[in-house]
Amino acid sequence: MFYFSEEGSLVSANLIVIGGLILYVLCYWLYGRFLQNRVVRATDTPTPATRLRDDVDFVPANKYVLFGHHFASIAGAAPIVGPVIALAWGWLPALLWIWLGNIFIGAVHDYLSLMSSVRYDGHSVQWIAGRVIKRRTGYIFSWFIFFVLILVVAAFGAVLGKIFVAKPQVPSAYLLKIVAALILGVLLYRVRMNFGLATIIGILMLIGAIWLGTQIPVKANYQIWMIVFFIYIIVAASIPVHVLLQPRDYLNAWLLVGGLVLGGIAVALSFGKMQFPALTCFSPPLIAGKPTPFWPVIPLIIACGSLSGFHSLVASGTTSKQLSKEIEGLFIGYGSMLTEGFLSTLVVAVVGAYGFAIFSPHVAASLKGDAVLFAMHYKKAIGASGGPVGVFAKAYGLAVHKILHLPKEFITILAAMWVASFAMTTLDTTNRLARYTLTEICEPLKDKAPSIFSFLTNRWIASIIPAAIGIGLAWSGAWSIIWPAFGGANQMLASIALITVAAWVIRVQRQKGMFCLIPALFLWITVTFAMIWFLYAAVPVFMHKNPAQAYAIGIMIVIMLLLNILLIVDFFSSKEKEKV
Amino acid sequence: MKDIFFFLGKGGVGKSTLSVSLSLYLSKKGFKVFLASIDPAHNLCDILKTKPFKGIKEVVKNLWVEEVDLDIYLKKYLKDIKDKTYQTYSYLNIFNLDKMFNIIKLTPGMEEFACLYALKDILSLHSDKDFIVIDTPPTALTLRILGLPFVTQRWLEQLSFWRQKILDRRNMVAHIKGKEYFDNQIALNKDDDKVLNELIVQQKHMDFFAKIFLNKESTHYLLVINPDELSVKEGKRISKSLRGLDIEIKLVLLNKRSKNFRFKRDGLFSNFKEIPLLKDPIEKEELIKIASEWTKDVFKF
Amino acid sequence: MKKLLTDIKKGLSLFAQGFKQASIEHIERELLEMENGFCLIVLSSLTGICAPPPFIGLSLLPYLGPEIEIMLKKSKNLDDKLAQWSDLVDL
Repeated sequence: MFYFSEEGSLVSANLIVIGGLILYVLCYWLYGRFLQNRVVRATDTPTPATRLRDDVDFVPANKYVLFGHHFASIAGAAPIVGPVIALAWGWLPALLWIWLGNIFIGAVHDYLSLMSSVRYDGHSVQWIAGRVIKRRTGYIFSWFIFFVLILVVAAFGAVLGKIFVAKPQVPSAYLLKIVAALILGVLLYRVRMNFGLATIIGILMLIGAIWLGTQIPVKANYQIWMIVFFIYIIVAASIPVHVLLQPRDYLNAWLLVGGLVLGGIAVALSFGKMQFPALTCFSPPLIAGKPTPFWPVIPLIIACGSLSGFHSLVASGTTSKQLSKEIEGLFIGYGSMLTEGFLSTLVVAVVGAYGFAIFSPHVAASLKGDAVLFAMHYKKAIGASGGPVGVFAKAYGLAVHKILHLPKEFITILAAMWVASFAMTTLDTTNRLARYTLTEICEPLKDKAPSIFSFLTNRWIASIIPAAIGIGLAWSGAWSIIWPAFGGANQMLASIALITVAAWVIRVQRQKGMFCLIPALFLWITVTFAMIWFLYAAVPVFMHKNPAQAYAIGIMIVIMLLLNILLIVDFFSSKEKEKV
Repeated sequence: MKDIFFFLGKGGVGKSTLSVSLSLYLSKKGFKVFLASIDPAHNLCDILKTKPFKGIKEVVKNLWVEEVDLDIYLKKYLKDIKDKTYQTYSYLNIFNLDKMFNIIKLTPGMEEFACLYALKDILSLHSDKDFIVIDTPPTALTLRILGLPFVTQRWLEQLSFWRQKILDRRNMVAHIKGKEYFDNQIALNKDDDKVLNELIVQQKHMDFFAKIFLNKESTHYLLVINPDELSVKEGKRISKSLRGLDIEIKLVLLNKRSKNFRFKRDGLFSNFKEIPLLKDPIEKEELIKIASEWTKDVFKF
Repeated sequence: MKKLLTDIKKGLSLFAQGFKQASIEHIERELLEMENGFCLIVLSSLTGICAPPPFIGLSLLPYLGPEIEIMLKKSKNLDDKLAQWSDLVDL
């Protein structure tokens, strides 16, 4: 057991960040290049973007612009929320997973998904799975995706609900940001104001929204926010894209850049020492208040930032169709995942160094003293501070305030808004994707039960079902249970993607696929054990207070576990047939 | 041009005969009349006892007659399309329209379109005439012809609306990414967009027809029926369908009247005239006399 | 020194390009789908599907070249749509 002294540990925040940076760069050059040269064997062969160029989906993009786009697509709220929760084990294990898990599993997963797609004319990992393993593997993919889409709504909804209640300045700042987006939309797309000028006005409105938000908070209780989210999800899909969605996403891009730059500078200049313990214990009471073993559960807590199945879809969906040269794939696929890991490292550093100061004295007292006590009370401490988003926002606010001397409340709301903006975007865009995924899943019903098929794939029903289940789960407020469920579904997706990619490397590339296969199997075993543990330990606790939600999650997990077994069976059984 | 007469009715009831009768009567009175048959099964020439001819011919003084060849109209239309397509997209060879003529002719909707196309020509070329008399095809096709402008108007409105939205968004993208981003074949302005312009042109045509078809003062619909149950029933159906388009039948002509036929006088028959059965061969003078009878009290010429 | 300036300039222009892309990509995607749909509806009448009267499709045919190309390109990828929209989600 590691106790920490009264003075705090010896490690300062910027040391961690710099250490992470060096490690990532080193591994990019060594391991990344190894993958590129030995496994992928990147050549001068024209990519689909050039070979199949149609200026509709296939168009070669500049590697920096593409990097920005890809990174923005994979960066969201998850790389921030996850690490905050994972600090229950101490910052060292969390960092080890963010670093090693990313370098050897996560970034490999992203990079190889991208490159396999490039070699398959830009087809998605799902499509490739159907060709390289078995037809029904593609179908299993749809199930995992569908569950991820529902659970992410639940997870983000719960986490947002918590911060909206704890800090009512955040929802008001967000509402004002919506107004700013509406105005920006009119300026940029209707009035067609000069792009630079409109951008500046947009950014100023954004700052104004945050400031005004701090002045006029919008108080409502948790359930009301859940209802608001539900209505928002259903309605957002019907509003024309150029009115809200496009300008809102444009503002988000600036918010991301601003948040990263501010945070990066602040931590780089910060010599604050890590106050949180480096190591607590192997199984702090985290999920559902039960002792949560670091292995196998850590991938469920920190997904994006270390390893995230959804990235394989993003990489093989649009990015692969816009890659100009094969050798640029490393920078974009491997590099952007490492960059996301860097973001998570920043989060760990900021929260680890400044987190203590944000807790109320009563809460802080329960955490101080020794690492085990910390572990015992950390989850409650998070809950008392506005959930994981609250902890991050306050720590970030404190850090930037201390180092760059910017107003603390403003920066805190900025940070919370940053996370909230990305999370809210995810809420409505996942619903659109879920509608389509539901249609794919119901495909077998088309001939066997046509009336059920047409009911389920009706435009409104297909939209309401995932939204209702997602918000229904979030209604319970049990973020510590829902978050790992989302993580689990996401990592199941990662494991099926990694197995697909391993099959590609072994059967098509004819390389020794150990660098894929070992992480793939390790992941498969980890995730399977983690989900079984979850069913065993967490769901029964959930059952007590919220039986409906517990059953919903339980059923989803059981289905995923069964499909997971089917997947590995299919992988090994189809090994004999040399598929190309 | 004063008035247009449409003779409607089932095949074989005597539309052509009565349309000829009206045309002869009016031309005898000194009016300039244009009589056209858009029924694919023409028999104007038989009734007028002339040799079949192509195009327009002044058969008697003041009476010009045409048995419209719809195939020619369709071919002309398709050639026009083909020329325009090859002009702009010579590489777009996916539709070989010449070979597709027979299929296009039978495609639902093309026959009535060809009739409208022909009708447009007739109405514009012969606006100097005093009267235009149209012998229509059997009722199913005629109802589709009469309804086509209205159906099409709705589609054209929607498509124009959608097209404007597309142009809108192109401009949004061009504003951000620069106008050079789009190929110069791709229109950004309403005025440059050939698709939108074509839609507007078609809309004008359809509006033109709608106006004419619905003109209660100068467009007259004459329904010809025979003294049998079937004919009467069909007549009622036609009347109902036309009412749905806001078109009223001006006059019902009970042709080939026999003394034994009884029927209920109700809505359909509030305005009708009887025409006796004529014995072959039918002379022009007879036809003129009949027309003077049944137009009495109904029309003022 | 000059090279540094040109590099910075290039960097800034790439930066701007990225942000411009971010400000219009959803609208552009929507535009392509609208053009695809417009063409599908207008021309599908030529196959007899209930749609606008076929003569509208024929009349517009000479001018729909670009849209036909988009329609054909999009129809090639119809079996793999899921991943193409995943980057909207921002997970």
